[in-house]
Amino acid sequence: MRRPNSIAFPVAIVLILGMALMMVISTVLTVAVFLLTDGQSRKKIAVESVVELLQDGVSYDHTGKFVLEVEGVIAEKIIRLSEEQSEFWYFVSDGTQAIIHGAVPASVQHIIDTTSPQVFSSEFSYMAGQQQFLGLRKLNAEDPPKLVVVGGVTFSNAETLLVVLREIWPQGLYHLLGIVLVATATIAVVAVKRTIATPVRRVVDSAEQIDGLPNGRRISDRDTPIELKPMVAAFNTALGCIDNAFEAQRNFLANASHELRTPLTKLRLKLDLVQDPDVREILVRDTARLASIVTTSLQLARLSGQALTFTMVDLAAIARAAIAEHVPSVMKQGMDIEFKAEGRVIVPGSEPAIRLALDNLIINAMRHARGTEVLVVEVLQARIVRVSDEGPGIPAAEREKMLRPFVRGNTSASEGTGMGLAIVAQIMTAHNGSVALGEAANGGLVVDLAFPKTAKESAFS
Amino acid sequence: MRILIVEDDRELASSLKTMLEAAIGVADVFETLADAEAALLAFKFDLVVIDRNLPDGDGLSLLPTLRQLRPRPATLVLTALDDPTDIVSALDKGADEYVGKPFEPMELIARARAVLRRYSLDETGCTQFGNLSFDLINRSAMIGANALSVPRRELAVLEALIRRAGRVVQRDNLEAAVYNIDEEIESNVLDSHVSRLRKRLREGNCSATIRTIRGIGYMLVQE
Repeated sequence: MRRPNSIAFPVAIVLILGMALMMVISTVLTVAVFLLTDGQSRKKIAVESVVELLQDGVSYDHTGKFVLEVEGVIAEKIIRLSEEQSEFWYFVSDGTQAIIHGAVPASVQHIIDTTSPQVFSSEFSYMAGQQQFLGLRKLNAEDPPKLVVVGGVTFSNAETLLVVLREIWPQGLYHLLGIVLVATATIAVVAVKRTIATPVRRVVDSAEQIDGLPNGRRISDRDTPIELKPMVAAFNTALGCIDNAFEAQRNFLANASHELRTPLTKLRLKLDLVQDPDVREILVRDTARLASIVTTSLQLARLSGQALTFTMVDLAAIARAAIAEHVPSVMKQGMDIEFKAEGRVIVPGSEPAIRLALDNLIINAMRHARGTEVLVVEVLQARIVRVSDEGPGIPAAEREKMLRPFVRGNTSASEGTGMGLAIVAQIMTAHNGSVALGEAANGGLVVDLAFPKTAKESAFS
Repeated sequence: MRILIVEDDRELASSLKTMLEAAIGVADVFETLADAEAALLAFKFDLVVIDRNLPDGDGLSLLPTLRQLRPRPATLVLTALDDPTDIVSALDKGADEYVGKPFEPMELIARARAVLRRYSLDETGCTQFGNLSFDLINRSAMIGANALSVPRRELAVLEALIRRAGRVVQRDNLEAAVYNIDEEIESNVLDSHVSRLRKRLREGNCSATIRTIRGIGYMLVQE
């Protein structure tokens, strides 16, 4: 899986790699400078290093005896390398006690004895056999002053490099400083990430809340860093535009509703003046259909343009009230209607919306389920409202698309608007529920409105 | 019966006037809320039919005035706004009934009659459904010219049914109308009241009968 993009992670990685690269480059440069120096200088470096080690290594033990104790792996190694060379010698003295290693050449002994104590550092060359060697005499400022004289050091290039590396180890301090810088920068990056991430997260959370409904919701730009304020402002402007668009749609719906229905009412009333009963019947039916299309279109548009307010409602009570309202017209159709409920069924929901869904189902049944004797509405404890008729039903292949707007059944008897079931489907979606069209044992249509099983799963929280 | 129609669309108003005059009684038409209010204060009306979108405001703003009138006319609101909240607000503000546009002429007449029946029962204590009449003040029922002898509980059932004649009365509401809160109601007591009442109506040659709507309640209908 690809690692999700983050601001902090690559920045921290770049910082660490950058510092590591700098450490390598500085070390390489130091070594390169050494490699470019001539043989005489390298010898000098080696001798100076050994003198320094010896000067640092001498101390007094508890009896006051003058001892040499070199500490550190590299220092010991350098001393050991020196001591392996036959010409190597040193002379360490505090004026009263002395430690001598190897044979101090006589000519050098003379220099030691005669050099003025005012001279703290002196370099000299001496011959031993056919070879010329470099010697170094150093006197430090301690009390008593310690004199170290070294000679006969001949290091190979690799050995000198070891010495050089020991010399330049204080550069590690700079590296340490680099590590501190990297750590600080990493912390800063994480902090910046949080500063950026928190307001971004708020915008994201708000964006997730957008359900296509107007509600005047805005993101607070309190605590938002100045750099991110334009983003929050732009987001709020967008939310405002959504609200305005919905407000315009709501106004349009109210006006359209009035402007369409008043002329329809006049038309319907005037149709009673038509003399020919056959013509009148056709016109009345067409007007009724037109009226029904207007009503259901507006219902559908309104449902998508407003948030439903949920309360705890009793499906049985809603169904009972809906049926009671429709009984006279159902009976006029020559049908009976029966209601079955296993007691109260409480769900979170919008009573007007559920009522509208049931109204549509009952009107659908009256319109399409010709031949139905008893229309049965049941409310089951499994949070299902079931409407079963004894009509021709809907073929299995067509059921799914019947839930979409403006789709009507293929039967010639269809005079509906093709929106009843779409409205039902929309209402059930708003309740996190579902609509299932099925077939009754006698071939009729069974519509199940299933509400979510538990309160947790539902939209009510 | 005198009817007040508040409707600014003249054609619609004239159709309404013709229709209501043929079925119920004399009707006067006013186009604005102000004119209608003046007329309401000057004359006595039995039924007021109000449209909502009027030149000088929402028809519902007439409801407070109507509520103060004694006797109060029955109020029927015509509305093109059939959003459930619009309907609820109309009923809450004191409308007795609403009819959504466009409506079937028969439906408007039927609803107007139902509202008037409820009112006449409240005002005069007397109402008529087919050849069945009910006198609330003397607590008696008659079929044609013959008095119908009915025990107290059955009379209460009949009253509840005739108040909403032609519409379903839910079981719960019927039980509430017949029994007080403390009384223990046996599950089938209401059914036996209804069945005895049904028998009495049949034997008295009543044109109205009680239909059972299974799972919901009962309804008084014309046979």
